[in-house]
Amino acid sequence: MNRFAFHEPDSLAKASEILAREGAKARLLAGGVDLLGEMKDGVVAPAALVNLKSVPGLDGVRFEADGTLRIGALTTLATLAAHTRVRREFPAIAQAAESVGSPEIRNVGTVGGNLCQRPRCWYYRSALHPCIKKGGDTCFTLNGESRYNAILGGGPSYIVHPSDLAPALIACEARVVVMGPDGRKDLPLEQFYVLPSVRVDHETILKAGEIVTEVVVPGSASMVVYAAGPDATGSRSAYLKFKEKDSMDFALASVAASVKMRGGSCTAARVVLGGVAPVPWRSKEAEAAILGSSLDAPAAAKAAAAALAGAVPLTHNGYKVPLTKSLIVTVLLGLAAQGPDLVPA
Amino acid sequence: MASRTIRIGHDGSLTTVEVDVPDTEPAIWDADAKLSVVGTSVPRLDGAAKVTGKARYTYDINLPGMLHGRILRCPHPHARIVSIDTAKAARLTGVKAVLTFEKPDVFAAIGETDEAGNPIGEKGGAEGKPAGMRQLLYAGEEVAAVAALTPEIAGDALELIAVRYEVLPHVADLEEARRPGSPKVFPDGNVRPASVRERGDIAAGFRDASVTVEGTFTTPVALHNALETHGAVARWEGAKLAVWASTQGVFGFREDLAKFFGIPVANVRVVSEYLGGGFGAKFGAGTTGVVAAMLAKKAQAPVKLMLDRREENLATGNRPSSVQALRIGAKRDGTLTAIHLRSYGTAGIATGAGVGGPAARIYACQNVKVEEEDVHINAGPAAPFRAPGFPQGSFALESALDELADRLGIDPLDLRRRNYNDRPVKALLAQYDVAAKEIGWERRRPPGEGSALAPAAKPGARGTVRRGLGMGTAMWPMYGGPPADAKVTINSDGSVECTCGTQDIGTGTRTAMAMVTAEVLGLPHEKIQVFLGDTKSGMYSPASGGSVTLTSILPAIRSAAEGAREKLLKTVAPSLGAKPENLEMRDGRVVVRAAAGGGQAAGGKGRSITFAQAAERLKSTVISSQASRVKNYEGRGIEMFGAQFAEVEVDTATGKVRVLKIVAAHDCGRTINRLTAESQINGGVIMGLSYALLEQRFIDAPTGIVMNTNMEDYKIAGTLEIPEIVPILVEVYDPANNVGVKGLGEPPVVPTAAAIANAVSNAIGARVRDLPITPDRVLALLAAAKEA
Repeated sequence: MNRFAFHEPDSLAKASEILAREGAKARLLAGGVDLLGEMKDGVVAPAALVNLKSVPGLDGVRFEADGTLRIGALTTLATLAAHTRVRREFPAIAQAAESVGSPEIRNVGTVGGNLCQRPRCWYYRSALHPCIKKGGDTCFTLNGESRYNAILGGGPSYIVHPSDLAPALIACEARVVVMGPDGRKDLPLEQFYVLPSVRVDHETILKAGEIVTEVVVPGSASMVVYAAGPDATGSRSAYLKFKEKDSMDFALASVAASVKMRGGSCTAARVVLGGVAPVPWRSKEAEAAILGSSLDAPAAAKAAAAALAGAVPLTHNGYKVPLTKSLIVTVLLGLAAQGPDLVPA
Repeated sequence: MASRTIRIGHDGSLTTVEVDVPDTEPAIWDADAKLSVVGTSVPRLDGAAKVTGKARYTYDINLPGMLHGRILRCPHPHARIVSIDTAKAARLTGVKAVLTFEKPDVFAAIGETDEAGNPIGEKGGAEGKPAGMRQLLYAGEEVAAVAALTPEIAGDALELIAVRYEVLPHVADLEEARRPGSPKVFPDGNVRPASVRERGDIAAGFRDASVTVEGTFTTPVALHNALETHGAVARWEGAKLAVWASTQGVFGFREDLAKFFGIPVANVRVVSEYLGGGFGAKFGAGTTGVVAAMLAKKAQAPVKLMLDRREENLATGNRPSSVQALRIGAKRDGTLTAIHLRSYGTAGIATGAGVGGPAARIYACQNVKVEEEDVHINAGPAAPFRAPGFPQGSFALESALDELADRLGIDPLDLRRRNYNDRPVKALLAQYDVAAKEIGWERRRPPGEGSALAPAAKPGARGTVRRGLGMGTAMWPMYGGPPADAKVTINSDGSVECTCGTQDIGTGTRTAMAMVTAEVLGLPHEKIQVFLGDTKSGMYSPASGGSVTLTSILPAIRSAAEGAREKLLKTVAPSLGAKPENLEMRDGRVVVRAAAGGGQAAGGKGRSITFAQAAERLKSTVISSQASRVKNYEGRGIEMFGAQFAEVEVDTATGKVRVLKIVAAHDCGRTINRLTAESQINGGVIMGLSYALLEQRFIDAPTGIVMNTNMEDYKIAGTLEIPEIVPILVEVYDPANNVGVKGLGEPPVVPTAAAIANAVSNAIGARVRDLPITPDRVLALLAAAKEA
């Protein structure tokens, strides 16, 4: 690992200022899970680290009076996963947070860090491969090992976005708040991510000096709440992550979905895929396939087929197509089976 | 020599035989031996020290003035060094030594040996490389090294070393390496002449066959990943060299260093008190041990050199891959008539890809031919890896046998029973029975006939989960022998020391040494102080590999303890008014027992003193008893057998395999410590499961770089992958030594992957032919089956 200057700003403005000044030479440090890995692997060698943890007030989970959920960027994944009300009202988000890494990683890994983490692609992580994401001119997966790479949205890079949280948050219509030299931005999380065809060196719209400070999720009061058991209620969302190694792994593919049902018919739906595309992949095709349906098996199968219709597998990742289809069906049927609608939207 | 009558076999099947042993041998612990310490289940003596961090591993050794070494490694899979400029690195503050390895023969003197101590590998070698500058044959090979005040400074210094390489064409793909015209790893080509073993006449065997099955099975390159990486701390004192090393063979390590530096073996001391695993990759000094000592010599200060995980997975060994074309012929009743195995695989720049052991040895078949071929690629050298060749060979053999059984409509377990090989004494049939009962084998149905294994329906489940059962036979043919020496010392305060130079690779050797000593002296095992892992002891032991440690050293330890016992009894006999032969040691006391014939005179039967009181009579002197192991008794069994059964669940929607239960019935001859023996079985099963489902090294063929050198990307089974494991020990009494112990390091890893693969095939009705059984492969098998 290289030597670096260590900054501990006490305000967001100062943090942003250092980052803007240092540009590509500086990196923001939160939990450090991803960044330290990159540094140890020789993928990045920042001259300066800016410790966001020295800025007060960026952690914590809050619910506003109208039910809006606000998650500070420094909230640990463990805190989010264990939050009772999040678990009840936003199961997909809690499930996603809980599916990340190991208990040790969830204890230090932050929400902001999870959303901004860099790809796990072997070639991106290899100091010996000057891949297109690191300023090179080739994506090594095209002639190399591609079993964990993208089947949707690829080109010129075929990374997959590794975040578990992002698909779940997008399925729950989350917005992300970014502070930076241009002031405050508040945008749908979905628009925070960009395909490599738009921007290849990074997976988000973040510019130098910009910092994710918060994630805001509209309240579940606006969603249909169903009976999940004799006493419990919850909103209808779920995250399903498929790992090759259950003990600790990134997703081979994952599915986040939220649906609203009215009178046995699906009135709103979000289906977002993880682990299969360079960004969290919202499938409006899948959503269209279930809207108006009773979310039965044929509808779920139709949604799965629609979601993967545009898939273009590489040499070694064709299996992701049937796998992802299967996960979509499981998630949708699971949501349908969660119980009768309790409160109409 | 004297002829002794001993009882052999296993419970329910005992018989009496004569065995010729040297006169010096104590009473053999045969089936009739009544033992009180040996065979019990006790925690490791060093368990608390290990889990509390008190145990000092090589990584924990810190010497005054110690420097930290780092190695610069070649980034290219095949290159020639043109020049190395170390001036900048040498000038960096804190750098104390810089070494470069551009000479072709720089490491040629390092011997590497297999588990039997024979030289292995083709690493370097005069034939392989032209004179002049050194040619590097894989990405990760050592180019230069630095010793500095801190590991960070050493790392910085590596980046300041300017190396010019002439990059040469490489080959990193097994199939490509076999093709004519592909880049050559060695000038004489990539494909080694096949080694051929044959018995009987397979052509005749296949003519006699009513049914023939054949298939091609593949296994990946697997990486050892012992938790503790390779490394050493080296310190020179004049012409003497002391090394603390993570090694499974302190004596071999010592000899390598003495040879390399051209100094007397007596000048070198190697210590390995605690070892964080080796699994076969830590036999000799290797380049890591040699470079540590070279740096220490040049810097004139102690140097610690521990590899990181990436280096560990590039340069210190691996289990070779295999492609096995297997053909088996049988009669209608299942009797095997012929087995023909043709295999090739790659050990990188080394050799050792043979996989024919199981096909040639496990089952009775008169006509067997095994042809094994090594193919070189530009990748790190293989090293022995827990049962070299056997997990690979077992997977192909047991898979083909299951296919045969299904074809013949015979239960797979019955097929194995029908081809039972009754040489040597073993409990395999009993192990089959007990393990089959434990797993509920009677529930197995041939694929397609429905199943009594259907999982309980879960709410929301889509009925995509299927279950299956499979099994395989364990076999391992290696066994210890002389030379092995040990010393047992009794001090006048009653304390007892047991000394052997051997190392505890993690199997509980230390505790087993104490237990045997304690058994002989009638003491609790905690009372024995064990000294091991140090060449300075002068008590030779072979390397801990091949499952030979306890079979080699325990007979020597027992003999040494018997000698110490005899001396102490002689000392105290007069004061007890008894003859030494009428005294016994038990429960911490020396007791006078009735003489044969009952005519013990006054001062006789029943009198006793404590062990400490007996030792007091030594009056500040010390009893020291040394013994050497005698050779194995003629005619007794030196092979280990066992059987494993697996129940798995396969989700046909995702291809996910979940192992629910593994029953593993094994023997280690006479069990010494039941707890650590069961632990060996558990560990072998876990390693075998991980090999079956997850592990595979990936090399990016175009660039020749290993892509998964960390433990995130090289996937190893974790807690959630580990199923219920039921270890069952069926003791076999067939002593070829005075303790009757056999090895258990290797056997439990042999059939696990085979049993799991057979269970998966049983579940999905399609034959698994490739390891690991990853979801993509299961989905592909299911899709192909659907099309067919």
